Amino acid sequence: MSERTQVLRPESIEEAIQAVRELQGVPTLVKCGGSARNRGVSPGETEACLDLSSLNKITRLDPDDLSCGVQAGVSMKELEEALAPHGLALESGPFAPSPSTGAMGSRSIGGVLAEAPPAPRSFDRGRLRSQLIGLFAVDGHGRSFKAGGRVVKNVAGYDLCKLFVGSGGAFFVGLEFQLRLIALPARIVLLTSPPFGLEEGIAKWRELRKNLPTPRAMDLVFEENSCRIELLLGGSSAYVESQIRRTGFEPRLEGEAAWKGIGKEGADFEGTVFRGSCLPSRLSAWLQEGPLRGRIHYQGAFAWDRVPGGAPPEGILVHPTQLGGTQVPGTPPRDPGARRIAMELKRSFGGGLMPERLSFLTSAASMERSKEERS
Amino acid sequence: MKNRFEQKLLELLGKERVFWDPAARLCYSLDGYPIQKHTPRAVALPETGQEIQALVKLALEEGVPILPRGAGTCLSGGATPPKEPCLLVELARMRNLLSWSPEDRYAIVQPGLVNLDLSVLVGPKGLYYAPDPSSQKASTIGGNLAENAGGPHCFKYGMTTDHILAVRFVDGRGEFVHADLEDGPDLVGLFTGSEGTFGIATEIKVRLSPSPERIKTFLASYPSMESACKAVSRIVRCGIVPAALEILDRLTIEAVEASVFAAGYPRDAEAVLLVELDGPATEVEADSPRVVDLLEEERPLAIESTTDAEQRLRLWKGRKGAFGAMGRLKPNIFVLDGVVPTSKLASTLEQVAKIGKKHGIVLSNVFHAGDGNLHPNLSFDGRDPDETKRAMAAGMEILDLCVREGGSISGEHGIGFEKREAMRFMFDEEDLDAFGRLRACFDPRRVCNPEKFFPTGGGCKEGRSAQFGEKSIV
Ligand SMILES: Cc1cc2nc3c(=O)[nH]c(=O)nc-3n(C[C@H](O)[C@H](O)[C@H](O)COP(=O)(O)OP(=O)(O)OC[C@H]3O[C@@H](n4cnc5c(N)ncnc54)[C@H](O)[C@@H]3O)c2cc1C
Repeated sequence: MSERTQVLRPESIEEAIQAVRELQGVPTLVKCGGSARNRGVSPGETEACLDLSSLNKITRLDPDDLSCGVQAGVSMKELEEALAPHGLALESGPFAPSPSTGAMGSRSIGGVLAEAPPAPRSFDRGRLRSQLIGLFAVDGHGRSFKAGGRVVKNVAGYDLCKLFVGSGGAFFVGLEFQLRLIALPARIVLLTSPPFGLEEGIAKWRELRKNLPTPRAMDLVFEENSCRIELLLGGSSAYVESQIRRTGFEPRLEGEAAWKGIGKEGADFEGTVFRGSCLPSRLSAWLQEGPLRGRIHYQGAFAWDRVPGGAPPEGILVHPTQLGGTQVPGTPPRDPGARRIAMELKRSFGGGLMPERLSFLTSAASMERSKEERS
Repeated sequence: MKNRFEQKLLELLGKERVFWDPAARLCYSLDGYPIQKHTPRAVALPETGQEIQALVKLALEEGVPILPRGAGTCLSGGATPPKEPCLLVELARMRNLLSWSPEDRYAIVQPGLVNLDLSVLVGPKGLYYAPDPSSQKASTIGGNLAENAGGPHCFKYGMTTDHILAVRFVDGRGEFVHADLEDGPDLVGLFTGSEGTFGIATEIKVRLSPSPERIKTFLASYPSMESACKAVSRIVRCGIVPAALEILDRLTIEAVEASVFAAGYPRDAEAVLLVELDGPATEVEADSPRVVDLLEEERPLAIESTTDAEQRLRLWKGRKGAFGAMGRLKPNIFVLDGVVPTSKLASTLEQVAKIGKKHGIVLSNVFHAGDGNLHPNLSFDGRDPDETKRAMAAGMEILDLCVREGGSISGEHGIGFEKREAMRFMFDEEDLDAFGRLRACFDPRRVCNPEKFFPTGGGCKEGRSAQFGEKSIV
């Protein structure tokens, strides 16, 4: 963002729509909370910044229906504080500090959804994307629309919520969201295993995946040549107690602290962060190849700041992510057909929003153009 | 003498795999939505993705609409051919499990594979495919994907969309697209639930789930619908997540008990509530006393529970056979699919009953109570035009009511022909325009499953969404 960048801070949904209409086509950075960096846009690239931090109202909270409505700039901390007295939470938890953004509490719900960080409790992208049940948005051409609704089960209309989660804001600006919530179980405990050697740890993790099919979260955490397992359990006291006995792991945190505690270590990731996914069955061969540090989630999503040296085998995908830079949302689809549709979507909805986000689209477009020119 | 379209189709698939004759085509003229019928121009039976691509290209060249069909169990007319004579793509010859990995818990399947068959195939490794529409013995993974199908157990395990990892499809330009959750924008989530309007899925990668170690089913009968609904709310709020929470009302109980699906439900009850817990045995047993306490707080007439597989099947038999049993009430049934917030279940059902009375329609309810997904069943005689009209009018009024209560016109059955006009209850012109632009990214010429989903005609500004007050609120 350069000094000449025009900053717009709308105070209402209507003002936000108006602002996007006025900015049509202008390369625009959208940010919601204090923690937003220049993600998605390099300095000097943007001519405008749309700051949604003043859209900070929780518009409804219906504890009995396990759902709420929030504006984009509501911080995760505010949301959490509003939900806690009702024994409610987002299923993916109040996300751990993201490796790329640092402080958690100041992260806004809009940013969290747009960036879709891998949250330990989410069974990979699966769960975070299912928490957004409705959305009101304005696209890069200044056209507002809604999708989904307030109820937790709903198939009416196309699921544009899915296009927002993890999009980095490249297609439209989410202004208000409807979220599904969970009622927290009677007891929540975070267990930590003793340190294991790599092979032993991976074997234990695989065994637990098989025999303990539904933990709230289960991360395998690597530090150089050792690793440990973090296990978040929730349920009735009797059940949790039985699982503590069964695993022999040590209870480290209880209740809210446990819910928030898992995944904290991601905070000290450095430099390039690698995101990706791996098939559990292919993991161990690759890990023999060099030093690494990071964590792998229950279904195989990972975030690491050092990965083994060798090329990953089939079934392991690695996306490098600069600290504070482009993340998963910028990952180009490998398939040319999917890239084509992504470009259509960007053309149809995106306008000037987050120009470098999905930058592969522009480079793919220019490649296609030059191919056409050559022929 | 065959015209060009017919000749090209024959060249592509040969005469064994194309149906022309009127009797065969008639079989494809409707799905589970009994109100509308149109006969397709031809029925093609491809065996590979390449053949599907060739069919889409042919449809584009000849300007003929194209419509994929799984088992045809759709309840909203999604698999009913459009009025404009179409090329219907019957997927019954694409039913293979292509590959799977028990440890990595995924399977890659062809779209015509029947839902339950997949669970049977992967069962020996302690896995299953979690989405379980009540039609799962017949409905296909491709049809489930297109409709984003739910089912009794999606309260805990999520809808089809939560279990699809990747989709390979031929889009409305006749090009292959491989959408994968691993990279790029979430095209998988967009395609799921798009009701065949974005293209035809040729391969689907689904998530497999570990089979639960123990399953315990409870049946609680109540003297009023209100107390059954309140029991559901108590359970939903307590932090235990049952696999299923299903309610049947008195009329349904009577129909079921008089039929071959008799499950031994108490006939003096106004409502029965089925609750199912599943998971590790320790968890199920630890949660059971709490569930019983919560059920008892609403003073049930009786509570029964069992972990025995045969007994559980008996308790579910009535629920699973409920739609079949309705055949005792009238020759035709129109299954609605509205959703309301769970806290409004009881009050909405009272209103629903009034609407049925007002239109003189026999109306019964069997529904997914945990997530507020109502299935009011309107029984009517399709031979009686007046009764059919009244059933349709009652249906629209009920969907309108659901939206007014903060809900939706569809929880799992989709829009299709049935609810396309009701889309205006939820969405205004801007929303529909966004849907239209989205569709154009996949199928710019609207060749895939046209005439559905979008309402006909103008006058959108009268849409219900204006009545929500502030536009910003979804
Ligand atoms: C007794 C009964 C009970 C039911 N219970 C439930 C329930 O509990 N939950 C629920 O959600 N639904 C339920 N349904 C509705 C129905 O079974 C589902 O919508 C199901 O997903 C349809 O699958 P199908 O294979 O029959 O698809 P079809 O009816 O053949 O097709 C449905 C739609 O999918 C499209 N389609 C099919 N294959 C493809 C493909 N390969 N690519 C793209 N589009 C495709 C079709 O064009 C059509 O638009 C029930 C229906 C019946 C009759």
